[in-house]
Amino acid sequence: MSKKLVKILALALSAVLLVGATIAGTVAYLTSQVQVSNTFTSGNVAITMNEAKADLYGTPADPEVRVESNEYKLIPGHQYTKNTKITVDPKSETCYLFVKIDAKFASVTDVDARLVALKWKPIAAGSTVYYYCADNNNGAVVEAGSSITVIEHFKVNTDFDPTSDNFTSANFVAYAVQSDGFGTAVDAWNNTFGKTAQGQS
Amino acid sequence: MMKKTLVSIIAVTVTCLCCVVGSTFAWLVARANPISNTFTVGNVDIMLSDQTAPHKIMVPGATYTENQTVTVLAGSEDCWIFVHAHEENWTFVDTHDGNHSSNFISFDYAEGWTLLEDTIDVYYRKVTSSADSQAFPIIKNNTITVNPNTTKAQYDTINTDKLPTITFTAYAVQCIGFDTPALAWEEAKKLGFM
Repeated sequence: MSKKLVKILALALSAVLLVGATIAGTVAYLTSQVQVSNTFTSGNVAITMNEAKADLYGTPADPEVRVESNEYKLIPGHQYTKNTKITVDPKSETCYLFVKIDAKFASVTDVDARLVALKWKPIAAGSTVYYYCADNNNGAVVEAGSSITVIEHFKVNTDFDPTSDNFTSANFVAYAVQSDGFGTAVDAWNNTFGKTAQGQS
Repeated sequence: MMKKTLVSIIAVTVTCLCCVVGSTFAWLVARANPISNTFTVGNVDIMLSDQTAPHKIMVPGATYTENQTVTVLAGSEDCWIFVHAHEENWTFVDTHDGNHSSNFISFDYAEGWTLLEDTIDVYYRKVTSSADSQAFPIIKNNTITVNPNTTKAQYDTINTDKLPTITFTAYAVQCIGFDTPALAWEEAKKLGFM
Protein backbone atom coordinates (compact mmCIF):
# COMPACT_ATOMS: atom_id res chain seq x y z
CA MET A 1 0.00 0.00 0.00
CA SER A 2 1.43 3.32 -1.00
CA LYS A 3 2.03 6.01 1.49
CA LYS A 4 -0.57 8.11 -0.21
CA LEU A 5 -3.28 5.46 0.24
CA VAL A 6 -2.41 5.02 3.88
CA LYS A 7 -2.73 8.77 4.41
CA ILE A 8 -6.15 8.82 2.75
CA LEU A 9 -7.43 5.94 4.89
CA ALA A 10 -6.18 7.60 8.07
CA LEU A 11 -8.00 10.84 7.23
CA ALA A 12 -11.22 8.98 6.43
CA LEU A 13 -11.12 7.04 9.73
CA SER A 14 -10.53 10.25 11.67
CA ALA A 15 -13.55 11.78 9.99
CA VAL A 16 -15.72 8.80 10.90
CA LEU A 17 -14.53 8.90 14.51
CA LEU A 18 -15.19 12.58 14.68
CA VAL A 19 -18.74 12.13 13.33
CA GLY A 20 -19.31 9.25 15.73
CA ALA A 21 -18.20 11.25 18.68
CA THR A 22 -20.43 14.11 17.69
CA ILE A 23 -23.44 11.86 17.36
CA ALA A 24 -22.72 10.18 20.67
CA GLY A 25 -22.39 13.56 22.34
CA THR A 26 -25.77 14.66 21.00
CA VAL A 27 -27.45 11.49 22.25
CA ALA A 28 -26.15 12.15 25.81
CA TYR A 29 -28.29 15.29 26.12
CA LEU A 30 -31.60 13.50 25.48
CA THR A 31 -32.50 12.88 29.10
CA SER A 32 -35.68 13.10 31.14
CA GLN A 33 -36.45 13.42 34.83
CA VAL A 34 -39.73 13.37 36.72
CA GLN A 35 -40.28 14.08 40.41
CA VAL A 36 -43.12 13.38 42.78
CA SER A 37 -43.21 15.66 45.77
CA ASN A 38 -45.28 14.61 48.78
CA THR A 39 -46.16 17.19 51.39
CA PHE A 40 -47.61 15.97 54.63
CA THR A 41 -49.95 17.74 57.01
CA SER A 42 -51.37 16.07 60.05
CA GLY A 43 -55.00 15.02 60.14
CA ASN A 44 -57.22 15.99 63.02
CA VAL A 45 -60.53 15.06 64.59
CA ALA A 46 -62.38 17.81 66.40
CA ILE A 47 -65.90 18.06 67.78
CA THR A 48 -67.99 20.32 69.96
CA MET A 49 -71.16 19.60 71.91
CA ASN A 50 -73.78 22.01 73.15
CA GLU A 51 -77.50 22.26 73.83
CA ALA A 52 -80.35 24.72 73.82
CA LYS A 53 -80.47 27.24 76.62
CA ALA A 54 -83.55 26.34 78.64
CA ASP A 55 -85.25 27.47 81.83
CA LEU A 56 -85.76 25.33 84.93
CA TYR A 57 -88.71 23.58 83.31
CA GLY A 58 -86.83 22.77 80.10
CA THR A 59 -88.51 25.41 77.99
CA PRO A 60 -86.02 26.79 75.45
CA ALA A 61 -85.29 30.46 75.98
CA ASP A 62 -84.03 31.17 72.47
CA PRO A 63 -83.41 28.46 69.87
CA GLU A 64 -80.32 30.31 68.68
CA VAL A 65 -78.64 30.35 72.06
CA ARG A 66 -76.44 27.29 72.60
CA VAL A 67 -74.80 26.51 75.93
CA GLU A 68 -72.67 23.90 77.66
CA SER A 69 -74.66 23.93 80.88
CA ASN A 70 -78.28 24.11 81.98
CA GLU A 71 -80.15 23.90 85.23
CA TYR A 72 -83.39 21.93 85.46
CA LYS A 73 -85.96 21.43 88.15
CA LEU A 74 -86.90 17.77 88.10
CA ILE A 75 -90.59 16.95 88.34
CA PRO A 76 -91.92 13.42 87.89
CA GLY A 77 -93.52 12.94 84.50
CA HIS A 78 -92.41 16.29 83.13
CA GLN A 79 -90.77 16.59 79.71
CA TYR A 80 -87.81 18.91 79.13
CA THR A 81 -86.26 20.21 75.93
CA LYS A 82 -82.53 19.58 75.77
CA ASN A 83 -81.67 19.57 72.04
CA THR A 84 -78.10 18.37 72.57
CA LYS A 85 -76.00 18.22 69.41
CA ILE A 86 -72.47 17.14 68.53
CA THR A 87 -70.89 19.04 65.66
CA VAL A 88 -67.89 17.71 63.76
CA ASP A 89 -65.46 20.44 62.84
CA PRO A 90 -65.47 21.30 59.10
CA LYS A 91 -61.75 20.46 58.89
CA SER A 92 -62.00 17.24 60.85
CA GLU A 93 -61.40 13.80 59.44
CA THR A 94 -64.41 11.53 59.23
CA CYS A 95 -65.05 9.89 62.56
CA TYR A 96 -67.22 7.76 64.78
CA LEU A 97 -69.13 9.62 67.47
CA PHE A 98 -69.75 8.55 71.05
CA VAL A 99 -71.54 10.07 73.97
CA LYS A 100 -71.36 9.09 77.60
CA ILE A 101 -74.57 9.65 79.53
CA ASP A 102 -74.59 10.10 83.28
CA ALA A 103 -75.72 6.78 84.75
CA LYS A 104 -77.95 8.31 87.41
CA PHE A 105 -79.59 10.57 84.86
CA ALA A 106 -80.26 7.55 82.67
CA SER A 107 -81.86 5.71 85.57
CA VAL A 108 -84.39 8.43 86.41
CA THR A 109 -85.33 9.50 82.88
CA ASP A 110 -86.35 7.96 79.56
CA VAL A 111 -83.13 9.11 77.89
CA ASP A 112 -82.10 5.59 76.90
CA ALA A 113 -85.19 5.04 74.74
CA ARG A 114 -84.81 8.49 73.24
CA LEU A 115 -81.18 7.87 72.30
CA VAL A 116 -82.15 4.63 70.62
CA ALA A 117 -84.90 6.44 68.73
CA LEU A 118 -82.30 8.89 67.45
CA LYS A 119 -80.14 5.99 66.26
CA TRP A 120 -77.61 5.77 69.04
CA LYS A 121 -76.71 2.37 70.46
CA PRO A 122 -74.95 1.36 73.66
CA ILE A 123 -71.48 -0.01 72.97
CA ALA A 124 -72.36 -2.96 75.17
CA ALA A 125 -75.43 -4.14 77.04
CA GLY A 126 -76.01 -1.98 80.08
CA SER A 127 -73.37 0.56 79.08
CA THR A 128 -74.07 4.27 79.28
CA VAL A 129 -71.65 4.95 76.43
CA TYR A 130 -73.47 5.14 73.13
CA TYR A 131 -72.19 5.29 69.56
CA TYR A 132 -73.97 6.92 66.68
CA CYS A 133 -75.05 4.21 64.28
CA ALA A 134 -77.61 5.91 62.04
CA ASP A 135 -78.77 2.89 60.03
CA ASN A 136 -75.50 1.00 60.32
CA ASN A 137 -75.02 -1.29 63.27
CA ASN A 138 -71.27 -1.03 62.79
CA GLY A 139 -71.45 2.68 63.42
CA ALA A 140 -71.98 5.65 61.18
CA VAL A 141 -68.98 7.34 59.62
CA VAL A 142 -69.70 10.99 60.25
CA GLU A 143 -68.46 13.56 57.78
CA ALA A 144 -66.78 16.83 58.65
CA GLY A 145 -69.22 19.64 59.23
CA SER A 146 -72.04 17.30 60.28
CA SER A 147 -74.23 18.04 63.25
CA ILE A 148 -75.77 15.06 65.01
CA THR A 149 -78.57 15.28 67.55
CA VAL A 150 -77.94 13.33 70.73
CA ILE A 151 -81.00 14.15 72.84
CA GLU A 152 -83.99 16.20 71.74
CA HIS A 153 -86.11 15.86 74.88
CA PHE A 154 -86.19 13.81 78.04
CA LYS A 155 -88.89 12.98 80.54
CA VAL A 156 -88.43 12.28 84.23
CA ASN A 157 -89.75 8.89 85.29
CA THR A 158 -93.01 9.02 87.19
CA ASP A 159 -91.55 6.96 90.02
CA PHE A 160 -88.77 9.48 90.59
CA ASP A 161 -89.07 10.77 94.12
CA PRO A 162 -87.85 14.38 94.31
CA THR A 163 -87.91 14.41 98.07
CA SER A 164 -85.65 11.44 98.68
CA ASP A 165 -83.60 11.04 95.52
CA ASN A 166 -80.36 12.91 96.05
CA PHE A 167 -79.65 13.84 92.44
CA THR A 168 -78.03 17.20 91.89
CA SER A 169 -75.90 17.17 88.74
CA ALA A 170 -74.88 15.20 85.67
CA ASN A 171 -72.20 15.49 83.02
CA PHE A 172 -72.55 14.39 79.41
CA VAL A 173 -69.37 13.84 77.41
CA ALA A 174 -68.91 13.48 73.66
CA TYR A 175 -66.03 11.64 72.03
CA ALA A 176 -64.86 11.18 68.45
CA VAL A 177 -62.45 8.68 66.98
CA GLN A 178 -61.19 8.64 63.42
CA SER A 179 -63.14 6.17 61.32
CA ASP A 180 -60.26 5.30 59.02
CA GLY A 181 -58.51 2.20 60.26
CA PHE A 182 -61.44 0.86 62.24
CA GLY A 183 -64.06 -1.45 60.88
CA THR A 184 -66.62 -0.61 63.53
CA ALA A 185 -67.34 2.12 66.02
CA VAL A 186 -67.07 -0.34 68.89
CA ASP A 187 -63.63 -1.35 67.69
CA ALA A 188 -62.63 2.31 67.54
CA TRP A 189 -63.91 2.89 71.06
CA ASN A 190 -62.24 -0.19 72.51
CA ASN A 191 -58.88 0.81 71.06
CA THR A 192 -58.98 4.40 72.29
CA PHE A 193 -61.17 5.91 74.99
CA GLY A 194 -62.46 2.50 76.01
CA LYS A 195 -58.99 1.69 77.29
CA THR A 196 -58.78 4.64 79.59
CA ALA A 197 -60.50 5.33 82.87
CA GLN A 198 -62.30 8.44 81.57
CA GLY A 199 -63.87 6.48 78.80
CA GLN A 200 -65.08 3.56 80.83
CA SER A 201 -68.79 3.17 80.93
CA MET B 1 -17.01 -4.77 62.88
CA MET B 2 -18.77 -6.62 65.69
CA LYS B 3 -19.34 -3.33 67.53
CA LYS B 4 -20.90 -1.70 64.47
CA THR B 5 -23.28 -4.62 64.00
CA LEU B 6 -24.37 -4.43 67.64
CA VAL B 7 -25.05 -0.69 67.41
CA SER B 8 -27.11 -1.22 64.27
CA ILE B 9 -29.22 -3.92 65.92
CA ILE B 10 -29.90 -1.71 68.92
CA ALA B 11 -30.83 1.23 66.72
CA VAL B 12 -33.27 -0.84 64.68
CA THR B 13 -34.80 -2.31 67.83
CA VAL B 14 -35.29 1.10 69.42
CA THR B 15 -36.86 2.42 66.23
CA CYS B 16 -39.31 -0.48 66.14
CA LEU B 17 -40.22 -0.01 69.79
CA CYS B 18 -40.88 3.66 69.19
CA CYS B 19 -43.20 2.76 66.34
CA VAL B 20 -45.11 0.29 68.50
CA VAL B 21 -45.44 2.64 71.45
CA GLY B 22 -46.25 5.55 69.18
CA SER B 23 -49.08 3.69 67.50
CA THR B 24 -50.93 3.44 70.82
CA PHE B 25 -51.37 7.18 70.85
CA ALA B 26 -51.54 7.81 67.15
CA TRP B 27 -55.29 7.54 66.60
CA LEU B 28 -57.04 10.77 65.87
CA VAL B 29 -59.44 11.27 68.71
CA ALA B 30 -61.29 14.18 70.27
CA ARG B 31 -63.25 14.82 73.41
CA ALA B 32 -65.66 17.74 73.48
CA ASN B 33 -66.15 19.94 76.50
CA PRO B 34 -68.73 18.14 78.62
CA ILE B 35 -72.24 19.45 79.02
CA SER B 36 -72.97 20.02 82.65
CA ASN B 37 -76.53 19.93 83.93
CA THR B 38 -77.47 20.93 87.43
CA PHE B 39 -80.68 19.64 88.91
CA THR B 40 -82.95 20.93 91.56
CA VAL B 41 -86.08 19.07 92.41
CA GLY B 42 -89.60 20.30 92.22
CA ASN B 43 -91.86 19.74 95.19
CA VAL B 44 -95.40 20.16 96.41
CA ASP B 45 -95.92 20.78 100.10
CA ILE B 46 -99.09 21.57 102.01
CA MET B 47 -100.14 21.83 105.63
CA LEU B 48 -103.44 21.97 107.47
CA SER B 49 -104.04 24.37 110.29
CA ASP B 50 -106.12 23.63 113.35
CA GLN B 51 -105.30 19.94 113.41
CA THR B 52 -106.36 19.64 117.03
CA ALA B 53 -109.74 21.36 116.94
CA PRO B 54 -111.46 21.18 120.33
CA HIS B 55 -114.71 19.30 120.86
CA LYS B 56 -117.84 21.20 120.01
CA ILE B 57 -121.04 20.74 121.98
CA MET B 58 -123.94 20.50 119.61
CA VAL B 59 -126.86 22.69 120.58
CA PRO B 60 -129.66 23.15 118.08
CA GLY B 61 -129.19 26.44 116.24
CA ALA B 62 -125.71 27.10 117.59
CA THR B 63 -122.85 28.27 115.35
CA TYR B 64 -119.17 27.46 115.78
CA THR B 65 -116.03 28.93 114.39
CA GLU B 66 -114.06 26.30 112.55
CA ASN B 67 -110.87 27.82 111.23
CA GLN B 68 -109.62 25.05 108.96
CA THR B 69 -107.10 26.22 106.39
CA VAL B 70 -105.02 24.46 103.76
CA THR B 71 -101.68 26.16 103.15
CA VAL B 72 -99.63 25.49 100.05
CA LEU B 73 -96.07 26.16 101.08
CA ALA B 74 -93.81 28.62 99.30
CA GLY B 75 -92.03 27.27 96.26
CA SER B 76 -94.47 24.45 95.61
CA GLU B 77 -95.12 23.64 91.98
CA ASP B 78 -98.49 24.28 90.37
CA CYS B 79 -100.81 21.78 91.99
CA TRP B 80 -104.32 20.52 92.47
CA ILE B 81 -105.33 20.47 96.10
CA PHE B 82 -108.20 18.39 97.37
CA VAL B 83 -110.13 18.38 100.60
CA HIS B 84 -112.10 15.41 101.74
CA ALA B 85 -114.44 15.43 104.74
CA HIS B 86 -114.56 12.04 106.41
CA GLU B 87 -117.44 11.34 108.80
CA GLU B 88 -117.52 8.89 111.67
CA ASN B 89 -120.20 7.89 114.17
CA TRP B 90 -123.02 10.01 112.79
CA THR B 91 -126.22 8.11 113.42
CA PHE B 92 -128.61 9.49 110.85
CA VAL B 93 -128.31 9.38 107.13
CA ASP B 94 -129.59 12.42 105.31
CA THR B 95 -131.43 10.94 102.41
CA HIS B 96 -131.05 14.20 100.54
CA ASP B 97 -127.29 14.29 100.12
CA GLY B 98 -126.26 10.93 101.49
CA ASN B 99 -124.22 12.42 104.30
CA HIS B 100 -124.67 11.36 107.88
CA SER B 101 -123.60 14.62 109.42
CA SER B 102 -125.83 16.97 107.48
CA ASN B 103 -128.84 16.00 109.60
CA PHE B 104 -127.11 17.65 112.53
CA ILE B 105 -124.79 20.29 111.19
CA SER B 106 -124.26 22.28 108.03
CA PHE B 107 -121.48 24.27 106.48
CA ASP B 108 -120.48 25.39 103.02
CA TYR B 109 -117.10 25.18 101.41
CA ALA B 110 -115.33 28.50 101.06
CA GLU B 111 -115.14 30.30 97.75
CA GLY B 112 -112.77 28.72 95.25
CA TRP B 113 -113.52 25.12 96.16
CA THR B 114 -115.39 23.02 93.59
CA LEU B 115 -117.05 19.67 94.11
CA LEU B 116 -115.11 17.07 92.17
CA GLU B 117 -117.18 15.42 89.49
CA ASP B 118 -118.57 12.00 90.40
CA THR B 119 -117.92 12.48 94.10
CA ILE B 120 -120.11 13.73 96.95
CA ASP B 121 -117.47 14.84 99.41
CA VAL B 122 -114.24 15.74 97.60
CA TYR B 123 -113.58 19.38 96.77
CA TYR B 124 -110.65 20.73 94.79
CA ARG B 125 -108.96 23.89 93.60
CA LYS B 126 -105.98 24.66 91.39
CA VAL B 127 -103.06 26.54 92.94
CA THR B 128 -100.38 28.31 90.95
CA SER B 129 -96.79 28.20 92.16
CA SER B 130 -95.70 31.14 94.25
CA ALA B 131 -92.64 32.28 96.12
CA ASP B 132 -94.93 32.88 99.11
CA SER B 133 -97.09 30.43 101.02
CA GLN B 134 -100.76 30.57 100.11
CA ALA B 135 -103.53 29.81 102.62
CA PHE B 136 -107.01 28.66 101.61
CA PRO B 137 -109.82 28.45 104.21
CA ILE B 138 -111.94 25.33 103.78
CA ILE B 139 -115.20 26.41 105.40
CA LYS B 140 -117.10 29.44 104.24
CA ASN B 141 -116.95 32.20 106.84
CA ASN B 142 -115.26 29.63 109.09
CA THR B 143 -118.69 28.80 110.43
CA ILE B 144 -120.48 25.56 111.16
CA THR B 145 -124.13 25.70 112.13
CA VAL B 146 -126.01 23.09 114.13
CA ASN B 147 -129.33 22.29 112.53
CA PRO B 148 -132.00 24.11 114.61
CA ASN B 149 -134.52 21.40 113.80
CA THR B 150 -132.58 18.57 115.39
CA THR B 151 -134.41 16.85 118.20
CA LYS B 152 -133.44 15.42 121.54
CA ALA B 153 -134.41 12.01 120.24
CA GLN B 154 -131.81 12.33 117.57
CA TYR B 155 -129.13 13.42 120.03
CA ASP B 156 -129.98 10.47 122.22
CA THR B 157 -128.96 8.12 119.45
CA ILE B 158 -125.40 9.35 119.64
CA ASN B 159 -123.10 6.97 121.45
CA THR B 160 -121.14 8.96 124.01
CA ASP B 161 -118.26 6.51 123.71
CA LYS B 162 -118.08 7.10 119.99
CA LEU B 163 -118.68 10.76 119.45
CA PRO B 164 -119.36 11.89 115.90
CA THR B 165 -116.47 13.51 114.09
CA ILE B 166 -115.71 15.12 110.80
CA THR B 167 -112.10 14.83 109.73
CA PHE B 168 -110.84 17.08 106.97
CA THR B 169 -107.94 15.73 104.97
CA ALA B 170 -106.08 17.73 102.36
CA TYR B 171 -104.12 16.32 99.41
CA ALA B 172 -101.94 17.92 96.76
CA VAL B 173 -100.91 16.59 93.39
CA GLN B 174 -98.66 18.36 90.88
CA CYS B 175 -100.45 19.80 87.84
CA ILE B 176 -97.71 18.74 85.44
CA GLY B 177 -98.84 15.50 83.89
CA PHE B 178 -102.41 15.87 85.14
CA ASP B 179 -104.49 18.17 83.01
CA THR B 180 -107.68 17.70 85.00
CA PRO B 181 -108.43 17.39 88.71
CA ALA B 182 -110.13 14.06 88.03
CA LEU B 183 -106.89 12.61 86.65
CA ALA B 184 -104.93 13.97 89.59
CA TRP B 185 -107.42 12.53 92.05
CA GLU B 186 -107.26 9.13 90.40
CA GLU B 187 -103.51 9.23 90.83
CA ALA B 188 -103.88 10.28 94.45
CA LYS B 189 -106.11 7.30 95.10
CA LYS B 190 -103.57 4.97 93.45
CA LEU B 191 -100.96 6.28 95.85
CA GLY B 192 -103.20 5.36 98.73
CA PHE B 193 -104.18 8.89 99.68
CA MET B 194 -107.65 7.67 100.58
